[in-house]
Amino acid sequence: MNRPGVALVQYLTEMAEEVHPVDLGERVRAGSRRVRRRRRVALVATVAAAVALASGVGWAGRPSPNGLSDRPAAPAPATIPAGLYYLDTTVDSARVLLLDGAGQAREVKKVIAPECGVTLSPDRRQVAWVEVDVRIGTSGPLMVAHAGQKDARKVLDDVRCTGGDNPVWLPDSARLLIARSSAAQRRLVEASSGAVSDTPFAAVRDYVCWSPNGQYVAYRENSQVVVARAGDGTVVHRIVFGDESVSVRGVSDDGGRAVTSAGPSVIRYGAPQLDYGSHQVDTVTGEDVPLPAEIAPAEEADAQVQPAPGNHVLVRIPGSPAAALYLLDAAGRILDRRAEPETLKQAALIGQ
Amino acid sequence: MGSAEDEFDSFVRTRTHALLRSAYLLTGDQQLAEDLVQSALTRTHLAWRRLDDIGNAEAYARRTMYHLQVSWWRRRKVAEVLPGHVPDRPGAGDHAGSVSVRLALRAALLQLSAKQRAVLVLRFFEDRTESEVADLLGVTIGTVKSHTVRALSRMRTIAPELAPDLLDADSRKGALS
Repeated sequence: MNRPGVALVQYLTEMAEEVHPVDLGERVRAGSRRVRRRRRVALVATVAAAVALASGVGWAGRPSPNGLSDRPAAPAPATIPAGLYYLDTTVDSARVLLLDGAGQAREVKKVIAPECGVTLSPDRRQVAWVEVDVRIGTSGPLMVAHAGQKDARKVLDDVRCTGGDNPVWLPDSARLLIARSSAAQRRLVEASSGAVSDTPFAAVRDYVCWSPNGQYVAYRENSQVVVARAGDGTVVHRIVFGDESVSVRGVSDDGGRAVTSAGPSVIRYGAPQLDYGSHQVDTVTGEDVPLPAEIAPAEEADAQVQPAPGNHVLVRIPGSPAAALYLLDAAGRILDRRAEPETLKQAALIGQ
Repeated sequence: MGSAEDEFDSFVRTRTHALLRSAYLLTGDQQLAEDLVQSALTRTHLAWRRLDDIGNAEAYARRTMYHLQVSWWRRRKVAEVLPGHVPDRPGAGDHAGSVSVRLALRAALLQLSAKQRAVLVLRFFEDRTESEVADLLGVTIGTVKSHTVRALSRMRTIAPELAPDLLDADSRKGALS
């Protein structure tokens, strides 16, 4: 409808008046207390590093009951991988894009809406998502498609997609961790057959993430960051983080560092399962692990940090004028850096 | 309670709604707006004793809010998904035509990128100059100009019925700088 002469500013003012007044005082003070507690980081229950290390040596290389932690160790590359995968979402679709070593991005899979929680398998061969319009529902059929192919198949009905309990690929790229509206416990589902099985992480309803080598799993339990063995769920590190709004988004190959979000873990409207956070914490000492000053953005939340093979981390600074991607070693040294095409600034980095 | 805490409480009581109004335009959703303002105020509280002048507290909170909005919501679908309900509290002097245009405006706003939306809200709702917007968002004036032009252009495409008002905005854009 045309109403010439009525300025944009007037409509904005009217729209702003729709917001209801609220008293945020108590919520702000509670949030402030949580952050202060987190900064003090009380270490309450850490299994001794030596014990964890010793047990790690004990089971490294041994076939695990469910095949999660028996990947052979491989030398970690000291360069950013040539191929990086991004997710570009619009109203109508979600596109998985591959950025090649020449700096060219091409589409490897397009998922037409409704879709929620689009996630790429660790071997980069399959894409999974929940077919649900998140404006009207929180669960729907779990769909899987091969990258580069148009057809998708339904794997399982009634799979939830609300952020922290979105489907997550296991390191074997054969199964996904899922939650269902009709069940209190999380289960594993075979992508090829739809067969459902148990998992040691059945009770975790928040983000669950595997280390790049598949040996460790990390998640938040109340206000604690927990690192457990992927094979049997045995907890090896547990630190009080003091902020229940933070979720765990990654864990290093040795389980010694967790990547957490800088903001609330509640993700509305079906945002994709994000494989990065903004903050690193030492899961043995509870100390924060800062980014090198050279690349740290003014606002911590502007950094996108995700674990990379070999206890490395890949750091993305989308607003960085010089380079957007940095590979760091465990000591925080910059091993490699790369610029990112402008066209991918609004896309999410979902795979290395 | 110390005087600093009293001052902060007073600041929260008196300025929350003003921050919420901007946050609502940025997010298009009451709950998201509350989350955004709460987070910005939490950071302001943590920095309260470091602020040179309490009079700058609102500027600090707003700057934090805009940065948080651009970074937190960057990957979320808030930009592409409309809220599930239409607010039932009409503005002053509202009528069917006005409501229709406001709905179109809301839909168009929420399809912009977070930074484009932030630039429009700062320019046309908070009445900031390009220089002030550039300073607040930590970008160049050229970036502010390009975001403004692209945002208005995209809104015209998304909601052609807004075109006359956006033309009006174009001329205002020049006057504000």
